[in-house]
Amino acid sequence: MDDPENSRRRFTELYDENYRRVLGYVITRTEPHAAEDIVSETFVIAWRRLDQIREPALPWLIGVARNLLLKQRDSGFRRRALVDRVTAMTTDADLVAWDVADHVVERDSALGAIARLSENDVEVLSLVMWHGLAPRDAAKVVGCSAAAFFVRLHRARRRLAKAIDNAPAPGARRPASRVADRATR
Amino acid sequence: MNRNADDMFRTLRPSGLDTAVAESHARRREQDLANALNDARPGLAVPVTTARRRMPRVLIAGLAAGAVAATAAGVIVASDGSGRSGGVRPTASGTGQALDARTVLLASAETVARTPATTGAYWYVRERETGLVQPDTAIDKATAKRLAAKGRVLKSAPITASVSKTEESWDGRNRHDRTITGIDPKITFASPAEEAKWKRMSPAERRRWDLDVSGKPQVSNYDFSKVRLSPTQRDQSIEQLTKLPTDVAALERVMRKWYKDENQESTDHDGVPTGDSFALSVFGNAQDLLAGPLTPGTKAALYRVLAKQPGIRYLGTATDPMGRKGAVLAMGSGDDAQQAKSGGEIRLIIDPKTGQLLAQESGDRKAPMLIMTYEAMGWVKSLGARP
Repeated sequence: MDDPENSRRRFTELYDENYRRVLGYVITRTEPHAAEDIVSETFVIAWRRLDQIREPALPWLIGVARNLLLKQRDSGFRRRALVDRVTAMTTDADLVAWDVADHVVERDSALGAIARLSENDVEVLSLVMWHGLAPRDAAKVVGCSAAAFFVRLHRARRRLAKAIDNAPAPGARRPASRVADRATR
Repeated sequence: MNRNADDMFRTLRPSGLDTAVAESHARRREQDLANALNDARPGLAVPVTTARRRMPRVLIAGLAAGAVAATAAGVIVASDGSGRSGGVRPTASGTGQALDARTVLLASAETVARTPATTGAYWYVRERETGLVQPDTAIDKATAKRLAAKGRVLKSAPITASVSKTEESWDGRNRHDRTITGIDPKITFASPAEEAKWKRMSPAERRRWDLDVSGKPQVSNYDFSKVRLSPTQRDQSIEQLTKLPTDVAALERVMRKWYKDENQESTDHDGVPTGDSFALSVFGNAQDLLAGPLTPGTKAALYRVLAKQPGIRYLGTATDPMGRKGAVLAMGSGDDAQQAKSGGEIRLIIDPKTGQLLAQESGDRKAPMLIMTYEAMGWVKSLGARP
């Protein structure tokens, strides 16, 4: 690893292999421009610490990005950040996908249910279900033991199921098809 | 109507995310690489985040390296086809009915207390990790097909397989460490059809799902001697672990302090405590401490602290992947079979005759998501030496 050329090559590979997934995590928590800057800073830190990064590098990288994000904002703001970001990124394709999947509640209601979960729960769920991290890697991101993470995940899933159960069913407040609703606006 | 809450959560992931990050990668790559590569590398310092997870080496035994299972799967559902991962198989033996977790733990405390104390400069552990990779069963086939027809690509491992790799580690009292990761990689498949699918996958695709077993072992050396530690990290360094109390009440006080710190840290980060009970925190820490350099007296005290905790279940005897027989103790956030099925259960297999931790696993009992087998551990005199 002392050979500068090897280091540069390893770093470039690290960047290319992980950039999208690190940004995928950050961009669901902050505005796109700020997200890109955080990811850039994450990789500057990764370059400085290259010798200490072990494979798989993704949990380490997301852990650094997460800390940079945490420095930026207070927890009260973070609480709604993910739902706000999802709302901002929602396209017709997402509305179609929701209708196709034939879920028992409206998409907005499901988002509302998630907004009521703790930041902790949402993070645990999204690391595993959206960002494709194995629970043991996700444990490294949030800095707890694998054992503790498994339990947190289990509880978060239980609370998610409960929150969804309590969400209004389709037709309760809105037209049955959100796609149709949106198309007529 | 689809009532699966996990499925809903997954569907909420914005479909434009992948396009947005790919576009950003292309746009930012040149500038980002230039920024980083022009930045000086000061070398020694380790970022706090790494140090926090890296320093208590034994407390994260096995977390550090190697392939990890079930990339996109959040839940393990029992299936006969995937039960090849060689996990511990608790069997309700005749004596099992009469024993309980407390009895097993107190017996382990008695025997381990009689083990002679050893010492050395580096704590050595050789552990084999087996992870289960499998398709995400929460999305049913019909839904998958309908979503695919709408151009939605499902993020789920394409096959079911178990991937095993071995890691050796040396953790020094002087905080110089070495690891050798990716030793003897091996993959086993649920069926020949799964194997055929794996053979058709590209190397990049295999890496993506942690199904790649072509790599060579990697040796890494670490110098953490100049890293500043938080109080908890200091408590859990190799040197300090050997100095943990041998008195039950004193050890419990230390573990209560760790529990308080864990919650404080979680509150600082996320605004809420971990939500875990003290009992679960003890069980989670025990899982790692038992693979660490505790003196026989501290190990005995740890078993006695465990024996006082509610919610630990004795599941009977079982053999670990190396064929060693032991007692299986389990804990999770619930107390029923559903708990085990949903992947929230952690099981330790210990040998009550020696008080040694043989293996641990998590997830479904028939098809564990993760199995760690402790093949060897002990003190050695120098880096690279084995007990």
